[in-house]
Amino acid sequence: MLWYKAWLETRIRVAFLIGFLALVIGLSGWAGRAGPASHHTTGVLTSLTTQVPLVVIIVCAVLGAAGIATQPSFGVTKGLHGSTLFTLSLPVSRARLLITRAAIGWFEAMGIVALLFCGMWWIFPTLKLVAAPVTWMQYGLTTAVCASAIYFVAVLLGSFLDDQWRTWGTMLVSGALAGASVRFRLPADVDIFRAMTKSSPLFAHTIPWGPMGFSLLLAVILFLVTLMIVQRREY
Amino acid sequence: MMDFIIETNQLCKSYGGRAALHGLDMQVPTGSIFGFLGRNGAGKTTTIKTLMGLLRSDSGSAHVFGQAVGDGDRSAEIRRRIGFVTEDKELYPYMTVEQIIRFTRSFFPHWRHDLEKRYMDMFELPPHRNITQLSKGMRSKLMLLLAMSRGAELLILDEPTDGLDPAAIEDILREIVAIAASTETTIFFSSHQLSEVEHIADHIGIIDGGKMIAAGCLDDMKASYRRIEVVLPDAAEIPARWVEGVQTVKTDGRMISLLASHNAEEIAEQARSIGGTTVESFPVTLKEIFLEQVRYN
Repeated sequence: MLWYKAWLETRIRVAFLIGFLALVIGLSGWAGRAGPASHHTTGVLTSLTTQVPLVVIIVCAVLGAAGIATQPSFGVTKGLHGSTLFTLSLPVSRARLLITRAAIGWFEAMGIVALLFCGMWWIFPTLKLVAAPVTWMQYGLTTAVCASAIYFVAVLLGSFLDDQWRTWGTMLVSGALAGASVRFRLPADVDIFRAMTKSSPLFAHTIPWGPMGFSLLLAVILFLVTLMIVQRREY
Repeated sequence: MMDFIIETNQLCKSYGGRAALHGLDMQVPTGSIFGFLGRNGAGKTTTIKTLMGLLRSDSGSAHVFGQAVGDGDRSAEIRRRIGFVTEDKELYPYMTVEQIIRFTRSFFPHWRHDLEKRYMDMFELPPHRNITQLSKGMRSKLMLLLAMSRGAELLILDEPTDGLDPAAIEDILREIVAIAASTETTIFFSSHQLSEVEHIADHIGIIDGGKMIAAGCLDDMKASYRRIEVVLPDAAEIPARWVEGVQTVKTDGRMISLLASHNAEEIAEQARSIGGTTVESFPVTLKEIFLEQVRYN
């Protein structure tokens, strides 16, 4: 039933994100059909690899859990919602509460990323001209795995920040990481932003296993830190 | 069966240097209806949150069902045997009445379907209404349903009747007594409403400044506490030291009012020995005991 609770808590956000993405992709597709299709492969790919990670970061920031605290299905709360005490009175460990909540948010985020990639492939004919289906799937996989670290940044911030600060905080941390990726020459195996952009399968035609592995490692570390915070926190 | 279902020993808890619990010693007898009294900020909610494992004590110990609270999975097992009503009566804003009952029921193997149905009818709770659309009184009733239907051995209720109308309060108090009597559930409840506590509690504890300043069986306390009114002649001297048991002394001219926690007979004898022309002993209400205790603590 914790899954059910987590789904009820997040379903409006999921619906909102799907609606928002459908609108954006739909409008872009309509605009693309009205005008001349671009055949400039590099330009299309650069544009894609700039915008897709940004959208995915927004998805992760919005769906990142509020730790084990109650999150209203729409809007934000200031401070701790009183029903969190009701949750904590249940005979369930805090670890299980956090795992369930973080897991459902992650599945939802990954589901939306999958929908995003399928929708784009279906709507934009230009894509079929610049990328093979396998390459596009590889790029989707890379983005989903690399975005997991960002999602768990949101989960971590959600364990001690209110909703709006968690969302903005995640964007800020992501911006800082992206800035570091552009500004400094980070080792390729830890540069998850480069893996979603210039070193992505769309350009490199190979899956960037190094940064993907690093992203998963980072996600696990962030989750364990969140767990420690949640277990020590007083409510 | 253990004698005390809840026991705390020298429990201390501070928030940013301000002590909320200051060496709290408390024993709640198994099977009792224990009224936990105190002023605002006395430490009632902090005590309850510590017992529920929501706060960690700085020092001292707290045991529920003979097990130390606060350590992970064991704490979850303790909570399986407890029904809890929180102070602010907040529930999930995205669920309906029916959904939250179904959700809560799934965690408690001894869920009392009969009580669930009984309270749904008694409280006239609309199953399909969203929780955000319930009044505070309705939310209190729903939370009581969720706590009392758990089949718990211990009910911890933080201001359970807060926000309820007098008729609903009467119903709730009657149900609390009924559930305690029929299932031997221990009830531990905090309240500001002294009349409620006096009405249903068989044991009380008064907390002030994070310390237990009076505790025991309510009937025994009411029997041992007496107000002794003494009128002294002009020449008589008011003693500087009274026999042990005098809690407070109020002087109004030649009239002295004493609150005795015990030794009422000896105190009255002392009053007569110093020349008291009139010495009368009166029973006291819980309200008097409470007010005198917290005022002069």
